[in-house]
Amino acid sequence: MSNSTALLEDITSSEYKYGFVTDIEADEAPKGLSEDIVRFISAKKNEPEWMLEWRLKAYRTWLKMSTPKWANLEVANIDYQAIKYYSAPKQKKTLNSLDEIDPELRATFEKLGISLDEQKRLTGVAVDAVIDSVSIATTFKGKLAELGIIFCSMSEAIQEHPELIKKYIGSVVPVSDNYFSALNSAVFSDGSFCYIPKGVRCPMELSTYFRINAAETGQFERTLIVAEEGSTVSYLEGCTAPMRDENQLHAAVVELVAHKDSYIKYSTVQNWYPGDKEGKGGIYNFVTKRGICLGNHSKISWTQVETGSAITWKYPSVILKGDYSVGEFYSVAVTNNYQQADTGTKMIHLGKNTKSRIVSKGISAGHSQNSYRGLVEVAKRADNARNFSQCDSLLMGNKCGAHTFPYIEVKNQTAQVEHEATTSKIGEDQIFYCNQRGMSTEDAVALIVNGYAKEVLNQLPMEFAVEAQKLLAISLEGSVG
Amino acid sequence: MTEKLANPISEAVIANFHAFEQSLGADTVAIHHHTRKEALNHFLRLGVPTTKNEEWRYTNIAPSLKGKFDFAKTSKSSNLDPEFLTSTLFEGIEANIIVLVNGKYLPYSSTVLSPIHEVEILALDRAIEKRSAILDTYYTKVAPYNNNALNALNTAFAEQGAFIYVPEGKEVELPIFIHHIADGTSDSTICHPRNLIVLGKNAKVTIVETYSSLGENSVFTNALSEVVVSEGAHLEYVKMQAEKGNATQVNFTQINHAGNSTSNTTTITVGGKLVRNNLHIAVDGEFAEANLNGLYWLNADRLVDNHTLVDHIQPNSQSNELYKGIVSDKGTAVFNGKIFVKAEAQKTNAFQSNRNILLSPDGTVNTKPQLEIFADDVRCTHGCTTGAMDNEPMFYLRSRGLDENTARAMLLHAFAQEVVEKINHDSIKQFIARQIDSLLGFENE
Repeated sequence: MSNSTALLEDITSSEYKYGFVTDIEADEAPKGLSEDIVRFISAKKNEPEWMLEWRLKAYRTWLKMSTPKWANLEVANIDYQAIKYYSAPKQKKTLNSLDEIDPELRATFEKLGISLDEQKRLTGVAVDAVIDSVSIATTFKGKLAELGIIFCSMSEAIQEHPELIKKYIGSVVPVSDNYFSALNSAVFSDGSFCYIPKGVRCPMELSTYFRINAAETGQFERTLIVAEEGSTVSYLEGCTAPMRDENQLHAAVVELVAHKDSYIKYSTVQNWYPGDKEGKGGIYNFVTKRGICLGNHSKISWTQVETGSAITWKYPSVILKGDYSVGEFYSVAVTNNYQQADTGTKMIHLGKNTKSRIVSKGISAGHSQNSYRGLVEVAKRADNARNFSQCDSLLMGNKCGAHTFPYIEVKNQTAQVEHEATTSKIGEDQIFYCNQRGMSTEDAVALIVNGYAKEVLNQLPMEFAVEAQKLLAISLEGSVG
Repeated sequence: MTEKLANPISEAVIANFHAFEQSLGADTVAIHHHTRKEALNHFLRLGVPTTKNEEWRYTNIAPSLKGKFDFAKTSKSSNLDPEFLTSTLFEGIEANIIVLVNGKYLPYSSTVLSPIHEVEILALDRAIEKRSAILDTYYTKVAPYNNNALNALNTAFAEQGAFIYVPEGKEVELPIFIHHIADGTSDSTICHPRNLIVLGKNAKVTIVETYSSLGENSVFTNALSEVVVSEGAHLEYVKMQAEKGNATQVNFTQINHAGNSTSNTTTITVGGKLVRNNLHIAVDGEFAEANLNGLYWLNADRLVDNHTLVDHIQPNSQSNELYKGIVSDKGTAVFNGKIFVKAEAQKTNAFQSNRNILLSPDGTVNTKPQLEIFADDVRCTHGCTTGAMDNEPMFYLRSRGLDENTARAMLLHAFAQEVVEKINHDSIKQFIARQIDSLLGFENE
């Protein structure tokens, strides 16, 4: 037992290795939120009038709303006037090539293991790198453009493809959807935009890397992916932040639109700074992610590995509107120390013969609280809808908690909805078996947890699967209760 | 929305409360006046729950409570024929029978056969005089009224109900029936029956509560049962709800377990326009075991809402939960099963299963299992399914020459029977099975 206590301490003291700060000059907005700040952000980005109007409307909507209290989370009051809503690394006005990026910034991304040099990339992954409020570089743009794929920062898209933005922004996550989506709509600073034209299969993984650098800022990015008829795209998202004692707010919105016969795969490895072992600091991660299967036979698949953030509030959802459309959600959420996670999904079946699958694996250790909250709704006209949900929780120690809140609402008799959940700890017999084969307890736990999460990790693109496995190992090695 | 709906009800409640207290007579008022007053204040503070309240998300109770009821008249005696009340229903069953009409005890319809040393069965107001020590220990202490508006309302207006006390080591041979009748023949009625059931150490008893209603006027039953299962005791507890389509019922049952005790609770709902059952079980003792079974059948535009909560507080305890539902026409079934496992409750085994069959295109099933686990060395699982009837067994029966209706009736009967089989008392099991079969029309198929 003392051995395992030592191991537990080992893991709790393990360092967050992305906690460094890059010393770069930043162009910042003053603290606080007002209509002027919204105008300031819009002006900074040189936005057209309709965008400013949209933002102001969102801001006014937000003022009328109040913080949601229903989640199983303890959130300290957030002072929205103490946050800087815009912070951009200072750099030359326009970049002619990627070589002109500030060397400091380049070094930051090298340190994070993200190379911005196209020629250095071995695997075909196009990256949009977002630091604080703005996108600093997007790689492989030219190559993608040949296929008609648009992959650029949101600000650029607003300038260059206003017709697409006008058509799709806020169409999946309406401004007034919730408190944080309204806030995001008012002050979002950048993000990625991705458009796959009809019949195109995107030849490489598209990826956005989010980095919070400046202190006292919030990050509010917005991602929009549109897949036209018959197209396919796989998109990855990664994130890290420096270690700081105060909590920083990250409120993002992600919208996916899948037309007929298209397929969008969206993977996230979320590794925001989780706070120290006393629960001090860390990112508040309040994210609204939603996709809509507009056309028949379309498919949206969410995969997420959540290891970071002090508080996670996130429910990637799919609206299955087209007939025969498919929604998937695969999630591993790990909480340790004083982290809190309330995460899950919503599958709204509207079309006929729609299918959805939910696999959620929660792992809680330390003093953390880990909740799964999900909704499966079968509307009256959604004939032959099919859902299977599985949510498992693994507990390590008796100071943490695992919670499940699945809502299942069925209004159609032809639906077939199944839900199952289990909560348990790692079996002593499993550990014993490994020990007896000469493995240390620590290795055994890593092996078992990896096996436990395999179903989800297998869904990740290869580049991310490796990172995710390492993350899991770092977060949990040795935490045997 | 809360304000609009709550206010007329609150006003009616306040207006009637004073008159009600007067009608109770001096003694009773003196004893429980303080509690009633406090409960009334809690009710006014909490207000009638709306669908904005997470616990009442799918069930809107307010329309059933609106204005029609005279809260003061809960004690009016019914002029029903006592023979008629029990003769048909309990024919051929040897049992203790307590009859409560609109929450009021009818001595001439009730029969107590078990000897007094085995079990003490009294009307609650008699128990207040005779058994004040037990009352003081448990009454309103088992089921708190400060966080639940309807419990508070019951506590404020509760007048009568059954008091059952089984002393240490006694095994009650005959089952005890508590037969509730909500009488709406002459007027709309709201009633607040209240039971206190106390099992001493190693005691054993079988209790069946049956609910029915009469008349065409709307009736509202807000029942509350407090149950104490002491160390090593066993409780077999059945609720059979078969009210008419104009009846609303809210039923709260709190069962507190001590170590090594077991309970087997079966809740069967086949009637009532709107029925909300709250079954809370505190497994507060090592090696205690709680079994909860439920069966609900919905037709027309009826709604049945089962909320269960199993709270594992001590280590090494066990709970098994099985709730099954059949939904036809425009019926709505709601299920919320909470399982809490506290940090100290290591080695808990908790199982929960909720299965629903949707027979019609207009039916709705809203189900929400909920596990909240704070201990690591536990095994907790829950599963739930919702769907149409399985085609394969149907095909099998049809291929053997059975017509569709017969085959369907057989399969539904089998589906329901799984819950009935959980009752550990033969004659009660048969009594319940007969009731269900006649109500659901299986018998002649």
